Amino acid sequence: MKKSIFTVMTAAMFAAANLSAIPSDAADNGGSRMNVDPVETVTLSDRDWNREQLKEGENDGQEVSTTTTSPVTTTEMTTLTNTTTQTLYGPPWMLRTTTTTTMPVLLYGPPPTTTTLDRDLEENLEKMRGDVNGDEVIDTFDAIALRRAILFDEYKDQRAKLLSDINSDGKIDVTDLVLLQRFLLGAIKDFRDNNSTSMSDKTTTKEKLRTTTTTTTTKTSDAIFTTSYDPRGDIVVTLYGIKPSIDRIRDFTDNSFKDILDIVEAAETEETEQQEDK
Amino acid sequence: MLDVNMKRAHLEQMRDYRQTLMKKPELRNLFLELTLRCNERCLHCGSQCGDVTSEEISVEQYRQFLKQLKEDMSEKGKMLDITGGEPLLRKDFFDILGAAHELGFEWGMTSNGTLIDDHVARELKRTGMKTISVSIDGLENTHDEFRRTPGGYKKAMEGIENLLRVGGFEHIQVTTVVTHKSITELDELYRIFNDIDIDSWRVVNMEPMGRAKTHPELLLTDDDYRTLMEFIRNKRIAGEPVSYGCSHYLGMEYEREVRDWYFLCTAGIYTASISANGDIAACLDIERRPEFVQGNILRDRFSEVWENKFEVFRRDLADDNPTCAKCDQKEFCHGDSYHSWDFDNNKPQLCFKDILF
Repeated sequence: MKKSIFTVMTAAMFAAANLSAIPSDAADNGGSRMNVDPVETVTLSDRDWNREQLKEGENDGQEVSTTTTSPVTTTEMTTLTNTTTQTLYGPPWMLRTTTTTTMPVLLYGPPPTTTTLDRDLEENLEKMRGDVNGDEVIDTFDAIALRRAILFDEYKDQRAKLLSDINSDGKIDVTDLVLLQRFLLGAIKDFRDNNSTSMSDKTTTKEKLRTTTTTTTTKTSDAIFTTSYDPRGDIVVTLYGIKPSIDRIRDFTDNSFKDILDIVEAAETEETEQQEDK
Repeated sequence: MLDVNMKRAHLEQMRDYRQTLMKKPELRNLFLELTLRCNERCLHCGSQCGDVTSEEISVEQYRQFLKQLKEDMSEKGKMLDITGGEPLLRKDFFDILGAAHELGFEWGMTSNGTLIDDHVARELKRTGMKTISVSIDGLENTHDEFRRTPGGYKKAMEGIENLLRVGGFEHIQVTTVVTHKSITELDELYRIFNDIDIDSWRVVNMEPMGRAKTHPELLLTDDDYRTLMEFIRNKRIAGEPVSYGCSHYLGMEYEREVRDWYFLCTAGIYTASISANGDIAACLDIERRPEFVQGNILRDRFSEVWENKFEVFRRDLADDNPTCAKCDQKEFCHGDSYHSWDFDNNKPQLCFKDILF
């Protein structure tokens, strides 16, 4: 079955409420044991990997520049990751994931290259982490963008890809989405330090505007689903998929729907183009 | 579960909006029942196809009707929903829908899929079909037995494959009517549908209407209903395009979680229907009683009927039943789906209170 922007948005809505799906095999066994979302991993490219490695040992105040060499041998790195997972019902529990990463063997790879990193990005990486859609605001739209990125391996650009690695573990997967959702819910104030308030300071006018216009909940992450709701835009589907469609909804809705409609329209256009290409 | 306060607030908005719609309805879906003939004999058929005579109106009569509709109400923002019987049994099917397409109407259809070969799929594309929902009601044996059509499953799946191969449609959906017998097949059906490139899977329960009333053993039990809702919700959490249908108020637990909208019975406020003989009514699933026929397109102007009649559909059925009238969910349910109301005894035939909420 096809994923669409609608299913991604639905999943993002559930993710915002910290709901995880039960995999089919668990359901077959009675569904009593809860599991996590299947973790889809996006492996960073050599360049990103090097950038991440460099970040680990970055030198204060120095020009960030290095010479990298393509690996010529296989390197296995094993990391243990503790992940807090929310069950469908009941308390969260800890999952220990073992990730083994194998660096590629390039016997005849390209010659060593010199890479100068974006100094602004390096300096502000931690502050900007989570801004997946690049609008300089961390909000629910970033969660939607991240969900889409995980599902389709699609990023606006390399910068967006770097900033999508919310937990800085070198890969982009559902654990990043969970962390972002927890931040949006207000459960944590910083992606690294739960007691910090630095990230909440970054909640800017756009987000505050959404929050202040919320009439039904004070949870910031629900803002998209509360303030944007207009029953005229509800697409009651009788039998036939998603029609009547977006043009009809646009006629009815005020600007609070604009962002979502733009996303949906862009996705539909892209899908149509892909179909035509085929 | 999603935030209850949020859902309650949205349902209150929907309640108020429904009141507005009842005063100022807005046609979005127009069902055209092209025929009551069918090449299957489904145990759940709401139209009693095969047991009743199919009076049908001509291509030219449809053309005139659609022209008039366009003049009076515009074709914009409306969807023609073609249904039956099996609509593809009409030899002039593509003449009717070709005319609709020329007039600028968007249209989709429901079909059992058995007649969709490569040529038909291409003709559907040529005449502008946007969406289609094909019925697969269980694994092969269950499907064929339920629809009393040997080989029906294989033909329907071939029909879907033909549609996918021709491509260019906005939405290809599979609809499954789940029974007490077939509910154990949901996981296996999911695996099958997940491997093909359909856009969505609509999973609904067998409704106590039409021919289904004579097969109470196939209706879902209370546990079955809960299993069905949990199944759908779980798939949606995982980002899968699985959805319940438009019927029934589901309570705070499942509203908005198993489908993309809050409950709204659209009969008579978003939705109207033209029966095979031209009768104008609200939703084709509603019991065919004379008092529900609002006119006939062969003698009445549809726009006038839509504007001035339909009162019977633009009211709260819950007011007619003392239990419903006292129910704390009445303002959101308002008597549930119109098609499931028992008009002889003035009570809902299916109410999810105490089952799902």
